[in-house]
Amino acid sequence: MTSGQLSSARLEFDSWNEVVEGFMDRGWTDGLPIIPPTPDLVNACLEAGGRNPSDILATEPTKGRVITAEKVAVNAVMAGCKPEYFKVVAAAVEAMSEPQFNLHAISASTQGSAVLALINGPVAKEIGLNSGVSVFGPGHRANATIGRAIRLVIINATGSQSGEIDKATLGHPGKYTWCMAEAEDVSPWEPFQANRGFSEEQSTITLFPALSPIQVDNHAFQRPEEILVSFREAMFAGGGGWNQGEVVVVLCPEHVGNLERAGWSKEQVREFLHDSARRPIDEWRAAGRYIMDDVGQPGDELHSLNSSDGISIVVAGGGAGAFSCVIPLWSGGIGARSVTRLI
Amino acid sequence: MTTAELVVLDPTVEPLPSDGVVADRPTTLDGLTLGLLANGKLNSVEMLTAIHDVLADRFEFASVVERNKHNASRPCPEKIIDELVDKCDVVVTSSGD
Repeated sequence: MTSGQLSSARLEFDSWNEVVEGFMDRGWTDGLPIIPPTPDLVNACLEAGGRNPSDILATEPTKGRVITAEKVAVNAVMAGCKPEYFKVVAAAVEAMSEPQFNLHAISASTQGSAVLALINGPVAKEIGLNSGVSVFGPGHRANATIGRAIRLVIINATGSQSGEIDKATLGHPGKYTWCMAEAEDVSPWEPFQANRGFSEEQSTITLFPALSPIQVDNHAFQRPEEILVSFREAMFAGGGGWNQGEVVVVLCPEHVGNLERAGWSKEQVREFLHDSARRPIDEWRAAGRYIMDDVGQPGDELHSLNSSDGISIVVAGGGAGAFSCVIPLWSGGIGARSVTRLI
Repeated sequence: MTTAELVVLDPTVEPLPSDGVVADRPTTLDGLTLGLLANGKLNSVEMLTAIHDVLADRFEFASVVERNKHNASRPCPEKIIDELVDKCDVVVTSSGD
C-alpha cells in the first residue's frame, strides 16, 4: 500500500478528447494521443510499484528538477502502461539519473540519442515483454508503453521537448519508444545482467544512450568467423577506438544457433568482433573520419572500439531470418555510458 | 468548470528557482583579465582566438587566460571554473562545431 496525497496540479476537462487536445496544446505529449492521467490510474501505478507519491526517483542536474514517483506514474499512465509495468519505469528513471548516463547531454544533443531499455530476468515474462519476433517493432504493449513512458518522463519531467532542450538534428525513431527483453531461453550464454554482476534470478534494466541500429545480414555462412566478419562494417559506424568505448550487438537466434553449434563463448564473440573491426588510419580518413595527427601514423591500424569489453552482446529477435544488428552509442559510449540497475 | 467529467494530473516538473544573479557588467575591458574557455569541439579555440583579436584591437587587457574543457558533453571541471573565477574579470566561452 502506498500512502500520501497526490500533489500534482489538477486540471479539469469535459471529455477524454479535450484532455488529449489540451495536453497536445501544452506540449506534454510525444505527438501521439495519451491516456488521461486520472488520480485513480496514477494511484494504481504507485500501489502496484509499492511507491509513495513523494518518493524521489531522480534529480535532474541542470535545472534541479526533482522527479517524484508521482510524476513518473502520471507519465506512465499517459503512455498506456499497465500498473504492473510501473516498477520497470521507476527503475528506468532511477537508472537514467546516474551521472555516467549523462542524461542532459544525450537529451539535448544534436546527435540525437534515444534511450534503449533492455530488461533481463523474471520480470520480463511476468509482464509480457517481447524478446522475440519483431523485437524492435510494434504490437507489444509492455515494450511499447514502457519505452514511451521513459520518453514522456524525459519530455515532461526534465523539460526536454523537441526544439527546446532537445536540439537533435535528425532525431531518432526510438525516441518514441524503445524497450526490449533479452531472449534468455534462446541464448546459450549467461543472460546480459550476469555480465553486469547480477544473478540470473534478479531482474534488471539496462539503459543505453543508443543511436540508430545498423542491420547485419548474413544468410550465406554457418561458421562463426564467416558470420561475424560481416559485422565489421557496421562496427565502423560508431567511430574508431580513440573515441568509441561501448557498442551494443544484438544477435538473432539463427546467428546465435550457429555460434552455439560451433561451441563459441560470448567472450570469443566479443574478441572476434573487436579484433576484426580495425583498419589503417588512412582508411578511416578515406571514409571521412576526422582523426587527429597524434592518434598515430597513416598506416597504423586502429580498432573500432578501444576494448572488447565494451561490446554488450544481447540475444533477441525472431526465430526466422539471419538478421542481427550493431547499435552504436551516443558519443561513442564514452561521453555517456550505459547503466544497469536492479528492478 | 465544476461539472467537469475528467480530472487529470499535470505531468510536468518545474525547475527549482535559480538563486543565480547576473554579474555586474564592467564599463570598460581596459586593464582587466580576460578568460577564454573553449568547449573542446573543433574550431572552438579558433573562434575564441578571433574574438580575442577583435577585442584586443579595442582594449588593453592586463592578461589573458586560455583554457579548454576538452569535453563538450560534460560540465566544465570545477578546477577550471575555480581558476577562471579566481584570475579573470570577464570570461568568454565558445561552442565550436
